[in-house]
Amino acid sequence: MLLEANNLFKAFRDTVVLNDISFSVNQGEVVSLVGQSGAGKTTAVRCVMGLEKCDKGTITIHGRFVCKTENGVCTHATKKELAQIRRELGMVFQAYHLFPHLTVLENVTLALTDVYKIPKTEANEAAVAMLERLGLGDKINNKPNELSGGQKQRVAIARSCVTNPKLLCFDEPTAALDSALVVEMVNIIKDLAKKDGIGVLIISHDEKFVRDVSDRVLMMEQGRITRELSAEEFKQIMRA
Amino acid sequence: MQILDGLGMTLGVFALSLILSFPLGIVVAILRLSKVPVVRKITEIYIWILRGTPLLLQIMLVFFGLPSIGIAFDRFDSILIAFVLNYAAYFGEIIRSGIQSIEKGQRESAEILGFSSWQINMKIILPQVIKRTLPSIGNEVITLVKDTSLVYAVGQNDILKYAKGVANSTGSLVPYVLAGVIYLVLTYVITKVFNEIEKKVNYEE
Ligand SMILES: Nc1ncnc2c1ncn2[C@@H]1O[C@H](COP(=O)(O)OP(=O)(O)OP(=O)(O)O)[C@@H](O)[C@H]1O
Ligand SMILES: [Mg+2]
Repeated sequence: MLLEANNLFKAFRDTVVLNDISFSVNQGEVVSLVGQSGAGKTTAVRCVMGLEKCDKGTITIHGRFVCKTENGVCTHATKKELAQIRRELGMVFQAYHLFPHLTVLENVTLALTDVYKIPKTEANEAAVAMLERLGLGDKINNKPNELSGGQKQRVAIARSCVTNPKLLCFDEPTAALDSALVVEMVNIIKDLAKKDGIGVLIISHDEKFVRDVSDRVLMMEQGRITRELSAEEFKQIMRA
Repeated sequence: MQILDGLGMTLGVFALSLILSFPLGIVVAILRLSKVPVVRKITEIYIWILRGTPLLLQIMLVFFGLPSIGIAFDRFDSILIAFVLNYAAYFGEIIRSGIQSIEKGQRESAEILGFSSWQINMKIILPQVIKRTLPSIGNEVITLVKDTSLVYAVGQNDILKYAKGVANSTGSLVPYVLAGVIYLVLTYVITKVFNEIEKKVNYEE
């Protein structure tokens, strides 16, 4: 199992946001997390990324602990351990958060050269290949502000994927896309999952998109996962 | 021209203060935003004191005051210490506000990409902060040029000191006007330099 999250609890002050949720993502699998606004979807993913510390529960990525609960005591990965785990993780935020002072190419190469210490020419090659695969070959020298929303998002995907993560999370990937681009996003994500074997965890409100992209759908409600559906079951529910 | 001898001192105080206080200001900003409450609080108090009292008082305190408790610096060093500490507080606050103006998602994205805090600050946050705060930094640098005239109060021979000396011995207004013109030229040059830097780093966000 690539990602396993078990019995997560998380409260902000006295509002319980995650109330005993468990989920998992396999290699090459696309799992969607759906549910009403405020259900706790983003918080769950942020816990996986180590951006938020859950109060209780156990999260493993390829067997490495992001957090671990034993005898009711929750311990979190140290900075160093987290850095190691994050080599397997990628996240595309709803607002993309590209680095505005860098070109598209630099946005994608910076982690390769500075974190992974890959020589510049090699990093450039890898980044250009990734950008071309995502249809951005002609934008490599542009600044993020010169791109459309959909293009920015693809740069964010390239930036996350160029380091070969095993698990890629998306928060609302279709929120800013028109329907043609949504279709494209389905293809991009499926390609990453099937060709590269990346496990993908998606937060989305967009039922059609979820139907087309997912292998499995988790329905969340008030901090709990209330239903877990296969792609087929989700399609049937949508028809009904 | 005696007054030009003073120019060296004025420029020296200006340049050294700037070169030393700006990096220190970055450090102050980072400490001011520290996750450790004590560090944050101490930095806050430092900023409060340095910005809340006149620079002239600080210069005098270092040069005339500290020797009474056995810490003595020479005239120039005293001036420099006061200027650097004072301007680091101002730069620190400007940079802090700049850091806080950058959405935290960029930092989080960078964390997940594996960058260390130091790399995030230096490669991602700071370049944007400098761009965003350039106008305020420019203002501060111009104020610094003019503040160098305070060194006159502890008897350092800057432009103003010479101007006064010449004016006293000749009874003429000209030295003061000349001093004013020199300050104007300096601030003009700084304004131009900052305009150029702003053009260079300009990109829409
Ligand atoms: N940093 C925080 N501090 C306090 N409360 C928070 C924080 N982050 C999230 N919450 C609260 O936790 C709850 C769940 O938030 P979360 O963002 O996980 O929901 P979501 O399912 O992603 O919703 P949406 O679909 O609107 O994005 C909300 O009630 C929110 O107000
Ligand atoms: Mg959300």
